[in-house]
Order: sequence, then structure tokens, then C-alpha cells
Amino acid sequence: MGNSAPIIRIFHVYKRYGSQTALADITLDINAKEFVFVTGPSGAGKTTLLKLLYLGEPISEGHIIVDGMNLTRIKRDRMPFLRRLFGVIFQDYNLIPNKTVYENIALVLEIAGHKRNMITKKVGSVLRAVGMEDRMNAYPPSLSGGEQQKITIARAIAGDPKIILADEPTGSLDEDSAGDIMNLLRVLHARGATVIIATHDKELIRSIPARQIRLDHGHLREDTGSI
Amino acid sequence: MMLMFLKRALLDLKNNPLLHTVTVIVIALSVLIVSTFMLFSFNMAKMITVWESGVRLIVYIKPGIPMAEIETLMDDISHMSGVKNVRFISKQEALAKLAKKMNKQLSLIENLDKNPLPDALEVWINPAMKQWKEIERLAIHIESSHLVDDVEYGKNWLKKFTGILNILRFSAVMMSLIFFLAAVFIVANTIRLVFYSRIEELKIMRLVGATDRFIKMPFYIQGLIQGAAGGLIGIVILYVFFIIMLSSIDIDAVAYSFSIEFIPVKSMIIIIFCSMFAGWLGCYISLRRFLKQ
Ligand SMILES: Nc1ncnc2c1ncn2[C@@H]1O[C@H](COP(=O)(O)OP(=O)(O)OP(=O)(O)O)[C@@H](O)[C@H]1O
Ligand SMILES: [Mg+2]
Repeated sequence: MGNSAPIIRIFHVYKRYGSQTALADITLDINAKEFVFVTGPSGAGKTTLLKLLYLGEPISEGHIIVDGMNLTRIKRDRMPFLRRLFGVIFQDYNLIPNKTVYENIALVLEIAGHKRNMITKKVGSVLRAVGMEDRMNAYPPSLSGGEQQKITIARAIAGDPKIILADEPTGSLDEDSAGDIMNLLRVLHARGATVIIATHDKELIRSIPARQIRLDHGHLREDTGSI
Repeated sequence: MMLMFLKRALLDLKNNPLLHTVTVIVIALSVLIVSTFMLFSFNMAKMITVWESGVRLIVYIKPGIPMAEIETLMDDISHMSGVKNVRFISKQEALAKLAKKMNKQLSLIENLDKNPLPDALEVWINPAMKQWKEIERLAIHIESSHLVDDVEYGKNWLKKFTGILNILRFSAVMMSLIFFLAAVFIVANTIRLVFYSRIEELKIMRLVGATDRFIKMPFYIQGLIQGAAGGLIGIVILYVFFIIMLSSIDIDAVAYSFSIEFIPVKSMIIIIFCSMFAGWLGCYISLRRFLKQ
């Protein structure tokens, strides 16, 4: 896979929150269809790095190019298209509390302009994939943390994104569910998605042989490169 | 796509019933006030038109003018633009009329040794000539003849009414403007409140790739629906008042030969269109400010 083109290029990127530096001088490429772990202790900057990719936070310094788009120069009206490249499994879920599970997932497909019957079918299939098809009409606050995480995962994969960003995707899950989700992500990778997983779960990292990018205090400490 | 936006807009209206109801009521009240003004000025204009069609000028002839010259003058006047017909009233006829009117003080007239009244012409104006200025111009034109002593017409009261009508029209325009701005303001604030109440949801929508258009559309639809509902309710309330008023007062006493009418359909459509525009504009103003991040 080493010879495929980079879908993400990061050049000397810094991210500061006020006076605090969350990321310092990060430079790396991620190729299309790669499977990557971003690791490091709490506060290392894993979530921050993922957020910069879909411009969930502005970049303080440096450049990131995603699928040919330079994020520091991107026009406002291109932002939605940048974000549709990604399926993001947010660490804090970001589910809309007053919409049902079905509506939360359907929203992504409505935004992308899909037809109603296609949406119904697709929502059903992704909910089945995460084992939550029986909670379609529940509201997120009535679900457990692990269940909400599964819904977030279902939403992230519903739009068949090119790149999946998974921020501690198994953080709230039991061992069996975690295994199921990892298998799901591997299937999606096998089907051609680029998968980037941020986690400090050593068990999880060991379970899959993949490239590892290790951050610490905002610095890039180790990059095993493509495997 | 449009249907989905409409569904989302309606859902949102359902989720914030109090807020939207208050907005619709304020718009309805604005429309009610403005359309009340319109109703009055519309009917007053109609009334004036009816009166104006009955306008006539009395042309007093100088004493001692021979009948032949008067006939030429009549012919001249009847060819002037705006004149419907001209009738000669001899001083005898005028005196007889006066005597009939004043039958109680008949002795006053009987004691006169000479008829003090002049000969006169009654000039009826064509109803198509509505403009006060035109009537005035005609009067001045007739007065310039060397045969004519004076021209009299009901200038003062008609002028006053025209003046009141103009004030009414002016205040209707000003009121419309003020209430239009009030409606825009209230819609802008409602939308802002709804926007704030949903800010987390909207942020998430953007994170998963929603365009500005996708986010804004339901708000615009809400603004339009509020405007239309407010406009419609305002007009219906005015209509109910109108019906009650019609049935409780004796119209003939106010204006015989003239029927009071509700504002024309065209004006109603314009009112509703304007209140919808106010809803749209309110949205535009508040969204423009808040979507700039
Ligand atoms: N919105 C924010 N405002 C201020 N500081 C922030 C913000 N988000 C993150 N930080 C800081 O940036 C640093 C990196 O945070 P980040 O969330 O990227 O860590 P992480 O590696 O994802 O940690 P975890 O494993 O706990 O999720 C931390 O020191 C954190 O306090
Ligand atoms: Mg994190």
C-alpha cells in the first residue's frame, strides 16, 4: 500500500488553545486506504489532530491538504464537501438529543441529498451493522453510553465516507461489542475506506497490525509508517 | 427536497409553539392596524368620488347681460373639458326656489320690490374629473369671462375632506412602514431565539456536512409561514369587525347612495404578500448575523 497517493498531507502544523499548545510541528502523510492508529496518553493531542482534519477546529499554523483541498485556504462554501469526505466517530458522540436515533442518522443522508426510500434502507442497514436496529425510535439521552457510541458509529458510516475518523470508538463498549466494531471498521477498510483510529487502548492496537502514529504532549514521537 | 425542508420547518413550529404564536399574533395585530387604516381610506376615497360626481358649479352672471350673450357663454362652457351639462337658472326661478326654501319668512321676500338675485348657470361636472385641481381650474377659467360675476362651488368642505383623506392615506403609509418594521423586528428576534435554542443541533449538522442553505431553509419557511398566518389572521379579524360594524350601524344615515365595502382582494393579497416578505426579511436579518459563525 506504500505506493498509493496521500489523501491527507500535514505540513508543520501547530494548534494552540490560547497559550496552550495542543499540537506542535506535526508533519506526516496518510495514504488513501490506509489503516492508521493515532496513539498517545490522555491530552497528547489525538482528538485535536482529528479535529483539524475536518476543520472542527481552525489550524493555528501550517498546512493540511485533504483530497487536494488546502484547509487553510478553503472557502466557506466548500466546507460541507470537506466534511462529507469524513465519517467521524466523535469521542463525545455529538448526537442531537431531541431527534430519534433514526432521525440522527437519516440527517447525514438528507444533507447529502439522498432519496427518502434509499435513506430508510440505509439507516436500517447501518443500525443492523452496529446491532441497534431495535432502538431506531429511541432518543439518545435514553440510551447508555455504549449504545450512544454505537449510534455515533452507525451515523459515521452511513454516508459511505472516503475517510473514517474514529476517536476512541470502543471507549464505552464491552469487550464483545468492541470486537464487533473493530471488525466492522476492518470490513469498511477492506472495501476501500481510509480508517484513522485515535485510541490509548493498547489491547486494541495490538489486535490489528497497522501503522501507528504516537503523539505525546502535542509532538509526533513515533511513526511506524505504512505496514 | 423542498418537502423535507417544509417538514422540518413545521416540526420546528410545533416544538416552539408559544414563541411562534406570539410572533404570529404580533404580525396579525400589525396587519390589523394597517388594514384598518386602509379600510377607512379606501371607503373615504370612494365616498369622495361619489360626492365629486355630484359636484356642480354655480356661475353668477353680471346684471343686465342680454340673453343672447348668456346663451353663447352657455355654449362655450358646455364645450369646456369636464363639463357634463349646463343649465340656465333665471333670477325669477332662483327667487321662487328661495321662497320655497324659506316659506316661514316668506314675507321677507314678498316685501322686496326688486329681485336681488342674479341670473345664474348651473354647470354639472363630469364624474370622471376627480381631481380637485381640475375643478378649480375650470372655475377660474369660467370666472375669467367678462359676463361672469362670480363662480361658486362647494370648495371648502370638499377640499377639507380631500385633505383629511390625504392625511389618512399618509398615516396609512407611515403606519404600514412602522408596523412592517415592527414585524420584521419581531420575526428576527423569534428566529434568533429559535436559532440559539438549537445552536448545538445546528453545530452538529454543520459537522456532518450540512450547507448553509440546508440549515437556513427551514427558518425561511418558518418566517414565510408566520408572515402568511399573521397576515391572514389580521385580515380575518378586521373582516369580523367589519361585519359586526355593518350590522350594528345604520349605513344609510352615514352615506346614502353609497355602500361601504371591505378592502379589495387585490389589497388583501398585497397585505399578505408584505407580511410574508416581513417574515422573510426578519429571517434574513437574523440569519445573516448568526451564520457568520
Ligand atoms: N477546546 C479546548 N480548549 C482548550 N484546550 C483544549 C481544548 N481541546 C483540547 N484542549 C487541550 O489540548 C490538549 C490536547 O487535547 P486532546 O483532546 O487532543 O487530547 P487527547 O489526546 O484526545 O486526549 P484523550 O485521550 O483524553 O482524549 C489537552 O491538553 C487539552 O487540555
Ligand atoms: Mg481525545
